[in-house]
Amino acid sequence: MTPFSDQENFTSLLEQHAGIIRKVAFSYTNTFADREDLTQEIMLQLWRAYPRYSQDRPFSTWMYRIALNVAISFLRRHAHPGRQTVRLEENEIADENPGDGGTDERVVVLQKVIGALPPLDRGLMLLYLEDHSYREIAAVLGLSETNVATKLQRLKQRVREEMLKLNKTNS
Amino acid sequence: MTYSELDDLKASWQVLNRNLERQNAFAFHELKERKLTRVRSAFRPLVTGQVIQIIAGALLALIGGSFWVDHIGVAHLMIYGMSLHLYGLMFIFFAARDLYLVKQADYAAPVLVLQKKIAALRSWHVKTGLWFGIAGCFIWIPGMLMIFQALGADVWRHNPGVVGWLFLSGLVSLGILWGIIAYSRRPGREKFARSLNNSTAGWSVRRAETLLEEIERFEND
Repeated sequence: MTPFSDQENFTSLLEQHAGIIRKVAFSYTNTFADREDLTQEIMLQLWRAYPRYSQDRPFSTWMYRIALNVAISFLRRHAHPGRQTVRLEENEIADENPGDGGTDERVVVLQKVIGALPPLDRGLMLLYLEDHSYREIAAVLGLSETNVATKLQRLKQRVREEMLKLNKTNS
Repeated sequence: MTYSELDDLKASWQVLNRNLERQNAFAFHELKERKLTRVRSAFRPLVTGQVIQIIAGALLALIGGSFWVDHIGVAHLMIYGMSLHLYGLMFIFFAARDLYLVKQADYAAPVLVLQKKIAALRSWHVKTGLWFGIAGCFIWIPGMLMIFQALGADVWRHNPGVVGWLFLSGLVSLGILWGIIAYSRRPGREKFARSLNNSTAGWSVRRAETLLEEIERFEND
């Protein structure tokens, strides 16, 4: 494969699966600047790892692994006490046409719930929200399927508690 | 409106997804414009530092080694040379291990596998940084004495008190290093600790260990 076609294939796959980077970057950052930086880092790491990518494996699983690994490292590097952060503007992520009048609120709640989770749990939640099977989640995270099921149960409980807290605050 | 289940958030996730997609905030075209092959080479500096350390270590080992070989039978001169020789080998070994671990880091590995490797590498890096700091407090002493010897002055034989003073200075340096680490571990000094290049401070050791614990907890929970 020539370097040119290699690059073309890569950018085409990247565009097809751009949503993965977008969602991972959103889940692991609080500011616009960080989101852009993380996006760049993920893309660079993907490009760096691309020569070793085997087509026997699903591209999305491979991409999720890299994106989450980069994002978790990024979050650990950037999340430290005293760091000044500017939350993403709510209207930047909210629905432009909220049909039931409650969608904006839901997106904000979602953002708060994700932001309250530790790095590894964020990855688990993201994959769950994306409707991945236990098997796929296990393959991305490196856990057993049973472990994934247990963790999701705990995550649901935790989210329930977080949301109750938020509901109390809002009411 | 209240929400109580993780499943409720799936609908919100879809909304968010659509909106993020609309923004098209990613600079794909920018990435295309840049030569991707050049981007790949942007990772080379990571390796360059370790290669420089290996070269520096080889030079130190060569200088130290040839010095003690030239002075076989003279105990204090052999000790100077051997100290520098060992320090050089330590340089090479630590840089080579770092290089190996960095090269081994496969970002396409399952998340827990890679995160454990990164945490272990970080922990190793921080601890070796500390050992370099401690050794560095004293290694200049044989280095300086070797220079004097090369200039024709055997300080140990003619003025052993000076060697004692040099050793005392080494102890003072160690005390300063300990003071800096202790200062960086105090609450509210995290920024200062980070400015020590995240390498030698005790705060960093604790942080690296916390990462490993966090991963293990996630895995076993």
